[in-house]
Amino acid sequence: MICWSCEKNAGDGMLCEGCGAVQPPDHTADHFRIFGLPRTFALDVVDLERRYKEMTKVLHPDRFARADGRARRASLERSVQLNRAWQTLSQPVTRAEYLLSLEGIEVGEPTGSKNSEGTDSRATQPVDTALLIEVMELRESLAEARARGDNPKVASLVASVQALHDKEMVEVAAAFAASQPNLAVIAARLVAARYYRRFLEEAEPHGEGDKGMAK
Amino acid sequence: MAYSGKVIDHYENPRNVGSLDKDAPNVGTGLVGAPACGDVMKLQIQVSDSGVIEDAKFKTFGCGSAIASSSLATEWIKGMTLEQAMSVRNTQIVQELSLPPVKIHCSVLAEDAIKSAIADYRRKQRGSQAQVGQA
Repeated sequence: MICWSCEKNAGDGMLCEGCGAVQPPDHTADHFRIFGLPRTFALDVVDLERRYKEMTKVLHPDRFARADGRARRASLERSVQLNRAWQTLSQPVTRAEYLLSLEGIEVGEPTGSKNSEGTDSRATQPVDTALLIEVMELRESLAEARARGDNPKVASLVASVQALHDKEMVEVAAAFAASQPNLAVIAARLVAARYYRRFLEEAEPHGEGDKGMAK
Repeated sequence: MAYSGKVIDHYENPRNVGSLDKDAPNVGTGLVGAPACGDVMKLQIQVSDSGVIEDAKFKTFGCGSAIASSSLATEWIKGMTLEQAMSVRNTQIVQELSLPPVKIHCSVLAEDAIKSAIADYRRKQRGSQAQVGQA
């Protein structure tokens, strides 16, 4: 990359190796490369946070308050990119889903939303029937426990679903650690984890739940 | 997000909520899910001897649009033949409920649920015919 300021080779860092001017971000870089890390699930989050904080310091808006417009814009774009990368990689769930998306497997986004005509019936990924039956039963139990105002039952359902969720994530970490990770298996586990999280969000004592809990 | 009046109406007064006997030979059950949002939708049909859907029930755990889509779907397919129900398209649901693009997958889910319930019913019918043949 040629530096916009000194017009010499800027190198690959945030700042030009020659003059120190902040460089606009490379929008093709994946979240791992932004931190100078390899694509891996098992990353050291303490090390990631240290890198994030150092980079945030370099890009702090105070340092660019009186800078050239191009430097201000470049630092702002870098900050946006850095924050997105941090938010994605710092959480195991989003890190795992992101790694799959780099391999062309979308767990998060319904592919149907890309089709504005809404004509594609194959838009929904098939979900394992056993999982759907389990989730349907769990959701029915939750609704019934709430209707009865049975708070201990709600709490025990929450605890067991939390355990199911955590178990899926342990299995995801183990699957990524394999020499040839089975991405389809990982995707299925992440889908299950999503269903369990939706249950847990629903079970939180606010919103609609208050009606049942207040009885 | 602003929901259309029809979505709110179906959400607040859902039609045909409940369950049919999933083990009955003339009942087909469709169970589908959208992994992105963690929604789960069950749609059941009860079919008469002449192949007409005489009752339909649903149970959906999901957003307002998913509930409205399945509620509308059960309302529509009651009284239809299986062939007519097979031809219900998610686009018709989108149009009727004025669903925004981000909620189109909810209507897709409802269409898939109808098809999956019909497939389950036909599987059962083939199974019982095979048994009759063997006897």
